[in-house]
Amino acid sequence: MKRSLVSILLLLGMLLAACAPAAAPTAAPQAAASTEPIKIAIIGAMSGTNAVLGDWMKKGVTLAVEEKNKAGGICGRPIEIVIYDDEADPTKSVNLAQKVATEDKVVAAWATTNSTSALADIPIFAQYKIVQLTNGTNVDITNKGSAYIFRANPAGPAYETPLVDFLVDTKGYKKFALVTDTSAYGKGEADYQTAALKAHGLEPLTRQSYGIDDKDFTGQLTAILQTNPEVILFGGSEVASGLIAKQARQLGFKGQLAGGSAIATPKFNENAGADNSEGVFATAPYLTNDLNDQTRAFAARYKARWNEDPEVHGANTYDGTQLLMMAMEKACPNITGEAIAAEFHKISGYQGLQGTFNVQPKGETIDKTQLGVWKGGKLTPYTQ
Amino acid sequence: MDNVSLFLQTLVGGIGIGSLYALVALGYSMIYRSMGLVNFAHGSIYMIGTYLGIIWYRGMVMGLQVPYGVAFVIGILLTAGLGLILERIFRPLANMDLMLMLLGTIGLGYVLDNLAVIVWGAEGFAVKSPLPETPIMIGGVALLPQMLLLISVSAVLMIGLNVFLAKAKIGKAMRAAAQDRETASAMGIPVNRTNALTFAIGAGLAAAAGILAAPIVYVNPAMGSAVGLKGFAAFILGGAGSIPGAIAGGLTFGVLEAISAGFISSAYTKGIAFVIMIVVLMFRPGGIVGEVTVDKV
Amino acid sequence: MKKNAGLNKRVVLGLAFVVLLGFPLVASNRYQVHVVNMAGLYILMSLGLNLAMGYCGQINLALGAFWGVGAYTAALLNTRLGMPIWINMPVAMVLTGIVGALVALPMLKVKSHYLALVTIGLGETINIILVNETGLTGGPLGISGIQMPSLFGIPIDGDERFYYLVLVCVVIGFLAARQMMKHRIGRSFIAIRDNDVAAKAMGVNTAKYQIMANSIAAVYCGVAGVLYAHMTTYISPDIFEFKSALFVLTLTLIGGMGSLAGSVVGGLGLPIIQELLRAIGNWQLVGFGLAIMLVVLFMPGGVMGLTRRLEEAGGIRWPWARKRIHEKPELEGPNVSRP
Repeated sequence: MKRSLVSILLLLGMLLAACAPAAAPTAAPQAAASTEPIKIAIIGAMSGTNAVLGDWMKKGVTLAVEEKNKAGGICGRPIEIVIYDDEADPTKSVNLAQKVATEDKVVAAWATTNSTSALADIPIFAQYKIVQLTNGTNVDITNKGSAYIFRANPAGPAYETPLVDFLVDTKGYKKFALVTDTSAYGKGEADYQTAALKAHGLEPLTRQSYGIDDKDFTGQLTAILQTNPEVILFGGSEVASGLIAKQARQLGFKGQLAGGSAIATPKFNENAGADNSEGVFATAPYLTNDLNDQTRAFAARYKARWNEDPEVHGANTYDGTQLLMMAMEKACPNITGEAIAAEFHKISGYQGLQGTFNVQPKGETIDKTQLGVWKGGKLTPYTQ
Repeated sequence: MDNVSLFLQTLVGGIGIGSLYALVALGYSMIYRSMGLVNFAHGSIYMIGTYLGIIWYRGMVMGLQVPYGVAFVIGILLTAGLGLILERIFRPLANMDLMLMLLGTIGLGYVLDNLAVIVWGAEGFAVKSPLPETPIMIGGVALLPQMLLLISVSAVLMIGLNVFLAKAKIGKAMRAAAQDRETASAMGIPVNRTNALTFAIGAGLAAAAGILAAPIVYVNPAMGSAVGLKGFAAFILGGAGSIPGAIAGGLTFGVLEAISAGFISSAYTKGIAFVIMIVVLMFRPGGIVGEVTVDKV
Repeated sequence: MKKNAGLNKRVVLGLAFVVLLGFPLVASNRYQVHVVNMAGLYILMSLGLNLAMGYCGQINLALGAFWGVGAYTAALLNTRLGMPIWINMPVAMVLTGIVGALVALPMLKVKSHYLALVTIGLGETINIILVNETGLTGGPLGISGIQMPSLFGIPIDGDERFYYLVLVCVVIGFLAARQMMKHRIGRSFIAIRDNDVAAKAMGVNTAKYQIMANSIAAVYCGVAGVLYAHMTTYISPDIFEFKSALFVLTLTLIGGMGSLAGSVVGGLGLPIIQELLRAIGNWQLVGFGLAIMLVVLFMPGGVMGLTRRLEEAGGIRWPWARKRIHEKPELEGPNVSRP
C-alpha cells in the first residue's frame, strides 16, 4: 500500500512540476498597444490521408501572414502562428481548440481543414470568443448560430448545384451514381448532389460510401457498375477520389466522372493519373492560377516561397487570411476576438483570388464557383 | 455488366486483395514461428518495406532510378535486413509473456510509423504501375495487369516458400528449430541464426506485398494499419503459424470482403468480415487449417 | 515502530489528499485540468482492463467500443430525452455491463491471441455500427450539444469543476476494485487466470466469473464514456476505435498489469507525458515508442512491477507465460489444444 502511494505521489509531484506556470504569455488583454505579437492558430489535418489539406492551409495562411509582417504587421504588431495537427479527428480537434483557447490564448484560428472537425470546434470558439475560419464546405457550419465562424470559400451546394445543372441540362445525363466518404464533407456533398438532382426530378441510382482512409473501392465500384450509370459523382478526399477515378476506369467504366472542390486539385490528377482524369468535370471557385493578373501574381509569390504551384485550398486560405487581417486592422488597437469578429462581418466588396467577397451575417463570404474540365493533366475553365 | 461477369469481377478483386492479405499473413506466421512473437508492428513493417522498395523505383534516393523489378528485390532485401535487426532486439522477449511482446511490438510500431513521417513526410504519393494501366478484358471481366502481377508473384512466393520449408536443408532446419529448440540445437542446428532467418523472411514477405500493391493503392505512412489488422485476422483465421493456413486465411478474408462490399453493403464490410471470422473461430478455435505448435522458449 | 508506520501512512495519505484536492487551483490554465480529467478517464478504463486481464487473464481489447457505448448512451439520453448525467450514468452502466457480458460469450471458447483478435473484431464491429447507423448515432458527425451536469443547482461547467466529479468517480472505482479483489470474486479471478482447468476442477464456475470479469471491465469503460460525453459535450466515433483500446492497454502494461495502483500510475502518467511531449511532434512519438520497448525489455512488470521487484524476487505470472523470470525454461507450447 505504501509503495503504491509513494508512486502515486511521485507522479502527482511530477504533475505539479509540469504545471508550474510555463513560459506562456500572461493573460493581460492584448488591447494594450504594444509590439506583442498577435497570435493565431492553425488546427488541421497534418498527417494521414488528409495531410495535404493541412499542408495547403499552412502554406496559404503563412504566405499571407509573412507578407503582412514584412509590411509592418497589424498596427505595428507582427502576427504569430501556432500550428497543431488534429489528424482530421474531431475529438482531437476539440481538444486542440480548447488548448489554443485557454493555453495559447489566440484571437483567431483556422479550424479546420475538414468539415467534421470544424463543426465540432464551433461551440468552443464561440464560447471563448475567438474568430474561427475554415474552408470546409458543409452547410451546417454556418447554421450553428455562432457569430465567430467564417467560411473562406463557397459552401457545398455552390459546387454541386451548378455541376448537376450542367450535367443534366447541357449534357442530358439522367443516370447518376454517387460515391462519397463518411465525413461531414462527403456526406454533405452527397446530400447536395441528391438535392440538386431532385430539383430536376431525378434520383441517384445508388449512394455508395467509404471510410476516409479506405484505399480499395472495388466493392463500391462493383455495386455502382451494377446500376449502369452514365455519370459517377465524387465527394471525398483528393486522394480517394483520384484512386476511385483510376479504379473505375480500370474496371472498364467509360462514362462521365465529375465532382466538386476536391476534384479541382492537382492531387486528384496525380492520383488518378492524367489518362484517367481526362474529361472529368470539376467545379471550384479557383480553377487555375492563370485566371487574371491577381491570381498570376499570387501564384508567382506562392511558387517563390514554397517551390510549388498553388491550387484552390492554398488560394482560399490566402483569401481568408486577407479578410482576417483586414478585420484586425479595422479593430486596431483593440485586437480581441470580439472586435475582430464585429469588423469581419462588415467586410464587403473585397476582390480576392476566388472572386468578390461579401460577408454575410451567418459567416458565409462568397458563393460562386466555376466549371472546369481536366484536359491533358491540366484543369481548364469549360467553354461551350 | 451482367451479373455473372460482375460476380467474377468481384471474385477477381477479392483474390487480388486476398493475395495481399495472404502475403502479410505469411509474414505474421513466419515471425510467429521464429520466436512465438505476435508482431503487432507487422503493418508498420509492411509500410516501411513498401517505402524501402518504392523509393528506388521513383528515383527518390539521390536521383537514382531503377526498374520496378530491381526496386522490388532491393526493397525485400533491405526489409529482410531490418527483420534481422528486429529479431536480435526482440530475442530476449521470446522468453516472456504474450502481453509484453505485444507491448514491445506496439512500441516498435510507434517508432517505425513516425520515423516514416519524419523521413518521407506525412503526405504520401501515388505510384505508377510498371505495366500498362489499361485493363485486359476477358469475357466481360476487367483484369488489371498490376493486379495479375500481384496475384501471380504472390502465388510464386507462396509456393516457393512451401517448397523451401519442405525440401531445402535450411528450410527444414527452420522448421525443426521452430518446433523444438533444444532438440534442434542438440542436432547441431544453429537455432538463433535460423530463427533470425525466419524472421527476416517474414519481414521480406511484407515488403513484397506492399511493393506489389503500391501501384494499385496509395503509399503513405498510414498505409500499414488497415492491412496490418486484416493480415493479422487472416493469420489467426488460418491458424497461427501455419503456412497453408495463412494463405487460406488471407484469400478467404479478401474474397469475403469483396463479396460483402459488392453485394451486401460497402459500409458494413469490415464488420461482416470480422463477424464471420469470429464465428469460424468459435467452431474451430485453432483456425481453419489449425495452429502449428511452436516452441517459443 | 508499528505506531510510526501507521502514522507514516496517514501522513502520506493526508498529503495525497491535499494535493489531489488542490490541483485545479494550482494549474496554470484550464487546458491542463482538461488533460488531467482525460487522464482520470483513462485510469478508470485501465482499472477495468486490469480487473479483467490482470486479475482474471481475459484479454479484452474491445474497450474502445465499451467506452463508446457508454458515451453514446449518455449522449442520446441527454440530447433526445433531456436526461441528466445522474440518470445516464446508471443506465449506461447497466447497458455496458450487458454488452460486456455478451462480448464475453464467444470469448469463453477461445484463447490468448485468438482472444485478442476476437475482442478486436467485436470492438471494431460495434464501432462500425456507431459510424453507420446515422439515424441513431449521427454517424461520423457525432452528437453535439450534450449538456454539462449540475448538482443541486450548482452547474458543473468547465473542466475545473468537472475535475472533482472525475476524482470522485476514480476514487470510488479504485476502492470498489480493491474491495472486489479482496473477496471471493477476486480469488476466483486469480484462480482462473493462473490455471483455469484446475480452477474448474476445484469447482469454480469459470464461465460465470469470466463473464463477470468482462462485464465489469465494460462497466468501468461505460462510466468513463458517460463522463466523457458530459465533459466534452461533443462525441464522434473516432475516439472509440481500436487505437484507444491499444492506448489503454499500453498504459496499463507500463503502469503494471495486475496491479490496481499500476492503473493509476499508467493512466495518469502516460497521457500527461504525451501531452508534455506534444511540442516535439513526430520525434515525440518515436521516443515514446522507444521508451515502451525499453520498458518491455528491462521493466517487464511495468512501473509497479519494478518497485515490487526491488523488494522481492519473482514476477507476475500469467497463464500464457512460458517461464518465470528466475525459473528454468519449460518446453511446452502455447495453450492451443484446450477446447
